Amino acid sequence: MQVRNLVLLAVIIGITGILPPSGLAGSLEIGAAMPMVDTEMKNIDGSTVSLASVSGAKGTLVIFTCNHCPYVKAWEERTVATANEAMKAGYGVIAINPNDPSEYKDDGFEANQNRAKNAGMMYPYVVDEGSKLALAFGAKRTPEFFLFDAEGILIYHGALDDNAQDADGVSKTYLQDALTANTNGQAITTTKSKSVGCSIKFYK
Amino acid sequence: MLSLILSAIMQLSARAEELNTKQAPQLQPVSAADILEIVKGHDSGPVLVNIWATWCQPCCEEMPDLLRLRSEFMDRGFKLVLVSADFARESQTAENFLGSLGVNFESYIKNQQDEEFINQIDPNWSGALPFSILFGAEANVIQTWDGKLTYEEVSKLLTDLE
Repeated sequence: MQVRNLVLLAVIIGITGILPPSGLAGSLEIGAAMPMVDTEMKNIDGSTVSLASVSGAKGTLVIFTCNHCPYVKAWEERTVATANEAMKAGYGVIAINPNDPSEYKDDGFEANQNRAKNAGMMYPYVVDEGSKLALAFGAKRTPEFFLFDAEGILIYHGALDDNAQDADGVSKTYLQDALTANTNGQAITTTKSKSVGCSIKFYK
Repeated sequence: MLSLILSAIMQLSARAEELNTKQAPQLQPVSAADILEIVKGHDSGPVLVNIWATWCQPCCEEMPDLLRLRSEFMDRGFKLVLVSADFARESQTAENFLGSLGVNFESYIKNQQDEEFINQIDPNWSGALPFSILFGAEANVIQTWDGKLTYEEVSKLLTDLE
């Protein structure tokens, strides 16, 4: 699927001479393998980590996020609680900021450090230099969640839950349901979901 | 003296007009179905639906282009439908932003759960903002933008439709 997408992208670029609108560039499909597993990214403590280095025995949760977005902020407490619990349950977790900090100064490295500390993230929060991971995943917005199983196969892609505005109004806990099902060896009922979010400010 | 009084009246009138045009429009809550009904109800020309939010920088950046398109093509049947995706508690902020740009036509705010709204507007939409759809006079989709559009590209499309 990834190769097919890359071929399609190449054809579009070849025909039009321009990059397609972001809506045409496909996201990673359910069942796809985790891409760019060995790419090293700078963590808040100055070390470098890759997707391979953070993967867990039960699976890996990849969170595309940023510091400035109101949707990220609205979900922040629930996101960190879910992700920290997933780590305790045997999942590898990584938060990735794909935004060009020249577009938003709040998405710079120091802001990443402050946010990770203030939010209580137990997992790495890294810089996606050049938005390379976001492009490989076909991520479009923040926040956006990709859950992989122990073999590195995508089993869930989408939102944390169905209500950013009001935690008390949540009726569908998409990500938690996917984590629970995978942990218990059950099929995931909802493998994809959508939410409004902040468009990723890709590096130019 | 008379000229001074007339000058003062003219200045007050101009100020009143300025204040009037900067009065924030009352945003009407809408679902995706409501938006599509609005589009179908406008059969005299193309409709551009733009989904935006005050916290979305590219949305705010493209807003002047959208208003320029409306200003230039309105007489030829073009309709601009602005739909804020701000949280309901931020509706006043959205109204103030539109008001500051002189928007005095009916505009809207999303009041539907995200996933339903996104999929009913366009199943191919990722949910990222801004998002725009240009409909033809028969409510047919001409083009979508999953990201910022420009005055030049939409202007060309509208001109080609004439």
